[in-house]
Amino acid sequence: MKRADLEHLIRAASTIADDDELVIVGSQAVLAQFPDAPEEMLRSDEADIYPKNKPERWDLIDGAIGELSAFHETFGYYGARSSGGSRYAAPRLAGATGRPFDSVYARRDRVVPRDPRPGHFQVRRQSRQGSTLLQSGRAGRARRLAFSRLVELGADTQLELEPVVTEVLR
Amino acid sequence: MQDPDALRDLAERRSCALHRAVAELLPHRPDLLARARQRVDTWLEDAGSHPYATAWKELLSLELLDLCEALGSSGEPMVTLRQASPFAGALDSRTRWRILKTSELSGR
Repeated sequence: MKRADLEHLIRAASTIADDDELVIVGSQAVLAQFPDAPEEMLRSDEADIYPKNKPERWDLIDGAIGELSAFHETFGYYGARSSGGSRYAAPRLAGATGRPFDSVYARRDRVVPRDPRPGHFQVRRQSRQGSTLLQSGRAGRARRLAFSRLVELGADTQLELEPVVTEVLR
Repeated sequence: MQDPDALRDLAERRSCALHRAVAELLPHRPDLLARARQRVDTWLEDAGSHPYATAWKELLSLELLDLCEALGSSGEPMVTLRQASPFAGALDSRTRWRILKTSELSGR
């Protein structure tokens, strides 16, 4: 899924649910906040999306533009409510105190990042053995490094599906 | 707001049920399999954008019975592969809605 695809889904879901505000959850929320996210992090055709003000209407979105729907056939991607996608998901990016960057608010006419994240970052790898500092740097450079490490770490695990968590701390 | 685990469970059950319905159609609808194979071949031309294309290619080359069994599997590899399925559009809208309505959130 590309950024333009996500924006298309947001417009469609907004119309179906009659709600100008939506919440995107899961790996595609990374795409909403970081248009330069590498494709390897965005493997799914699904965007987990629900109306912010009328959350009970998520079922309408699933029904109209969900998995295997005519919309999915036509455009190659779909919207559904699945709480962040599969539990066997791709590598994830997490923020300060381990909070994942995995939900973002959007309006039908524009995606609004929850946090512009300027400044200095540390890139750390989180594992059972604890947290390891990989590198620190300004936001853009640190993000590129984080993405490249996620891709590198994820490539070996894409079907073994052991989630890899990389923590980006401000 | 619904429980995230319950939503994820529902999404996986729905996905599984949709693909089981496709599997039931395949013995009678060879055109669906041909279309899926054609779609995967198209994906393979741009494999970088379709990381599951190779896995789907292998899956679609299985014997029909094995393929049908795999499509409805609740195992980890299929849960992942179904996130990018070549069977989009295989079910008519009425069938899809019926399956979605029969796979409701528990306690709803």
